[in-house]
Amino acid sequence: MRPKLPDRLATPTERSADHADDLALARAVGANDPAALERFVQRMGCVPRMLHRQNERLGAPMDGGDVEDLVQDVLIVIWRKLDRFEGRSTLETWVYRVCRLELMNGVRRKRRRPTLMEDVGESMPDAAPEPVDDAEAALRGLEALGPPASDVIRWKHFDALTFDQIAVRLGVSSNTAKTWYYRGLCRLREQLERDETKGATP
Amino acid sequence: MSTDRPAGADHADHAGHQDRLERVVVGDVPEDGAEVRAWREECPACAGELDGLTRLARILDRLGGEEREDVPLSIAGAGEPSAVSEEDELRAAIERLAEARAGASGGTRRSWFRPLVLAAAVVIIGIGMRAYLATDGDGAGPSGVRLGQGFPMTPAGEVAEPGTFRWEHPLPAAGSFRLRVLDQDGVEVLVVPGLTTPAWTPDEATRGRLPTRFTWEVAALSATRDPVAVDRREVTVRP
Repeated sequence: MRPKLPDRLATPTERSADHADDLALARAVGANDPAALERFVQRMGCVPRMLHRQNERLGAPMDGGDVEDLVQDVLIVIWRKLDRFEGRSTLETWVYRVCRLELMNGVRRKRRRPTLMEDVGESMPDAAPEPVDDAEAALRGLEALGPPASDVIRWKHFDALTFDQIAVRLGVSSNTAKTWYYRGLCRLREQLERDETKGATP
Repeated sequence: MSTDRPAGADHADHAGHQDRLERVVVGDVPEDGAEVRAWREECPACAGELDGLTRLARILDRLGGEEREDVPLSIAGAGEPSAVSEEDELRAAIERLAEARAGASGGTRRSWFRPLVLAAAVVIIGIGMRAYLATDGDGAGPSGVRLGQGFPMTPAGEVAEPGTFRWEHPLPAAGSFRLRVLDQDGVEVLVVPGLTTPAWTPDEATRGRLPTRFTWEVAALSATRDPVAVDRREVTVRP
């Protein structure tokens, strides 16, 4: 009999204290603790570098000025989402993922931006945003998947953990970890297929 | 949402294929082994499902690899620093956001969200439009950084082609270098802080943003970001 995917896994605090410091920092920033804000500013120094690196990986679809503008957008998004940081990763890893999705948003906006010669009415579709590429679709799908399935998949592919290591984190057998991963991957694929079908519908 | 059978395939007649698919996807059974090759021929639907899942896994592997490579490098500040990574700007932006939230404390999330966005917009405009005159343009500031042939220079002092900014000065203990480019009016058009080597090469996009006449300045900063040495030079880029 297949192990049932649980409704919830242990919270990060229950599971591991690895990122407890980062979680505490985020909470203190949320409370406007001056010392925490100072540390937070220093930690956020990675944002421009992350955006530039990611932009280069995508073939530099954004020019230097675009990326410069995007730094500010990302900071605002981070600020608004900080209360959702749960310490499932380091603060920088979480920020990196925010940067990635915001960069994709920026690329999409740029592609949709009408040139002076275009008819604005034709070039600004109201349709839901289509992913820039398969990678963005996978990332957004992963976000939508939510924990615990997204955790298992992230640990496998992003943290390069073995199923044995994932099993230890979850407090389950390795076979159970594999099954949860497989089902999560199937759900993610189903989700991407649905999104693709939706996007192809006129 | 059902998770007991893969999408896009009718597996009603394929009892046991789910377990086999899972074993391949998790790596217990080699994907390119004889068993899987035979299975692929026997069941094209399963083969299609397997292809879809392994493709998705490869995308995730690639994303994970990029993340594992980029995050430590970005934290360490390795590679070419960004022209917009000035900590002061980040600090200003975050402080304004914090002030906006503190000023609206006591309200609901919705009530402080609006001033937050407004404050953020001010920050963006402030950073985007900020143009301040150099305060040490009269050479009164500390000096001692020896600017090298940052760009190939003609005898008349013109820059023949874009190149690398170079200078000579020991890196202050736990400090850094900061490169600034100012236009003819002394307005700052580029800042590259946090340099730890005495050279910086702008990328093509950045070079395109440089004025044809500009002054470049290098400051050696202490650990507390105080300038311990500054020098500047005016150049003209040949059209």
